[in-house]
Amino acid sequence: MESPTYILLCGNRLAIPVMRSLLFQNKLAAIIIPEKCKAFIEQVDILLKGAGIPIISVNEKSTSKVLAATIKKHKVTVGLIVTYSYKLPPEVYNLPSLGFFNIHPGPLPEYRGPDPIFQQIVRREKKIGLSIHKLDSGFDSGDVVLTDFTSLAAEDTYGIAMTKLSELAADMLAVLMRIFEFSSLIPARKQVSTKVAFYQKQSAEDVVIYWQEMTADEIVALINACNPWNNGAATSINNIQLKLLIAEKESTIDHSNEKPGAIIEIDSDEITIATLNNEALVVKTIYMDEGFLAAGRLSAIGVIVGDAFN
Amino acid sequence: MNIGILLPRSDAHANIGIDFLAGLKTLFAAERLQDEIQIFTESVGFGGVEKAVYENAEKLLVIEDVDILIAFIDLNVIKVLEPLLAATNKLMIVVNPGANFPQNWIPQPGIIYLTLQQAFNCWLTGKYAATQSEGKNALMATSFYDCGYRHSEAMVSNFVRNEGVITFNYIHDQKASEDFNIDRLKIFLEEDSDTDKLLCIFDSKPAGLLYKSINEHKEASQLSLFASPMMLEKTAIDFPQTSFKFSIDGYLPWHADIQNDANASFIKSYENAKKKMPGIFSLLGWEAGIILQRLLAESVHTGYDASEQVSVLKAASIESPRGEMKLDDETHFILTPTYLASLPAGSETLLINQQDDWYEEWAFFSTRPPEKIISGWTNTYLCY
Repeated sequence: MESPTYILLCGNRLAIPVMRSLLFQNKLAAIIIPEKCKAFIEQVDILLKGAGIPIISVNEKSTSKVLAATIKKHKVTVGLIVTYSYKLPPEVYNLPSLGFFNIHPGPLPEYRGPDPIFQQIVRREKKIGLSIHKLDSGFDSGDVVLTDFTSLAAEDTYGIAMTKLSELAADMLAVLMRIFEFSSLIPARKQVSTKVAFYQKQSAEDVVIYWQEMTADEIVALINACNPWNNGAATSINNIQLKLLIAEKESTIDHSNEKPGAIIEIDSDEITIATLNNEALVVKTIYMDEGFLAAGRLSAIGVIVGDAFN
Repeated sequence: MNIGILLPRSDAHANIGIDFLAGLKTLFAAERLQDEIQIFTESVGFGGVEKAVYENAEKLLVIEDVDILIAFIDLNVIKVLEPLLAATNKLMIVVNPGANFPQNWIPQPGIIYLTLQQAFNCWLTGKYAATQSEGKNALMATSFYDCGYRHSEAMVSNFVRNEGVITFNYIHDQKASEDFNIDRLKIFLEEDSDTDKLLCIFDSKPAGLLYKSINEHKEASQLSLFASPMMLEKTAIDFPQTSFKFSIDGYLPWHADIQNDANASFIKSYENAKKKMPGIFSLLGWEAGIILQRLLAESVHTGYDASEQVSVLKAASIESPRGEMKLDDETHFILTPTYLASLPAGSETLLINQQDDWYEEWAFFSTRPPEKIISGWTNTYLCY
């Protein structure tokens, strides 16, 4: 059997180790990136400088036509998707003889949707997963070839989770590539319908801290899930909008008389905030229009002990 | 129930596959299961060729349509089987000596591991070596073959973690033959009087030769050896010697002298059926049979759904010749008690004592952050 040739459709750095792996094995024919991902295109351009791999930018309208032409030109036998925002029609994803596969940064069918990394963190999963599935006409609904997990620590941010998953994606791709070396048929399993969960892209409301409803663990998870892409989880105090970027739970402070959201302590570096269940949150870094600041700097704009976030 | 078995081959342990099957069939006979379980086998040689492993697994799972796959293979070749297992929703019981351990311990839903836990026993021996007597220095002695498996890293890491210091690494590069010599190791021992502990990892045959060679060293009585499980095998210890001038200690997963009803039943059944004593490979076969027996009994409720079967095993406590056998929820490794074997200097009696304080070590061992890049032999340990 002739050695497979791959095309990679991608939109962010989750794809970098996969790209590196394909390049290292001399299996990469071309890369397709949405033209709206300008920073990523620049990053890939630098990474692949001199490698001779075409980097093709497309928009939603041109993606199918360009992709079909590229697959034919380079005799591509396997298509790979890693976070690509445009849907492909069957006449395109059926073109590669060995199939088209989506590397989805969430375990399927439990985490369908555009941003399963965020969803897995806010749900405080202890292990974060990734599935490779065959492409079909639905969203993340194709038969699953591989699912694997890596550990997710309570303090891991969205960015750290993405790095971990990107390395896992390359490891899993290596398995897929090895199977292709001795079999043209990749076994896959239908997704169990009773386990399907689809999560929409998080809205502005989904990244707000609700002090009266969320425990300290849930707030920390939300803050981490918003770091760095949203500069933290949103909140406000004394009519000042800000985001909490780095925080951890504090269980040893007794503040049974304070309502959730109230500031218990404030010093030059940190602030301590009461949360539900007599727990507390120590916030180290915040984001405001003025920049990334040590949380204790809030005192410089008049925030004092007893003021409350809402 | 139809089971498929990927059987190994070994030049060093020529009966590895035969003994495994003998242990399995002896259990079936003892429990009158012969007519209820049909066995299909395929050979995967030394187990290091992914293509051969994949094709034979595919044949058993797809063509023979077995209900459960038992694969006597090492961890390096498991990944390529995962799509096959997921697609067929079949359980795979991975069987091997356990000299390696996963980079990523998070288990796949349809895979469990029945091993001799060689690496974990080496991990325990490493700590034991560091905490016995005042000396902290040790020499690491292993073979070119053995050091290609992660049990050597396990023993050294836990020795160092407990404040031990490795002063010399000795890698023996000869085959186990009459010309076996440890001259370079002896030179080091003569030059360094501060090192009196030896961490040793060898297969059973070279272990016997190593013991013999060290016994001829003039300072042998000053030495304490801390040995891997294969070095504590009867065939290694019984190497033609009256007694050793040095002490030998080490953790091991099983020994014929372990006193419990399940071990007595295993040995008696095996001796009656095969007219010889069982070994570690027949133990693995017997234990695989015990697991199959439980799954067969539960199949009226679970069918042969891999996840359901794993759930059954997670809830089960099964008596095996090693003691209570439980499936670890976090890793899908079968856990059993472990045993400290000690042969005092000059003694000819190996003392075997069950250890009860190993779980905390297991929890630490199985949650260590993975190494970034590792290398090693790809064949199944002892299949060479």
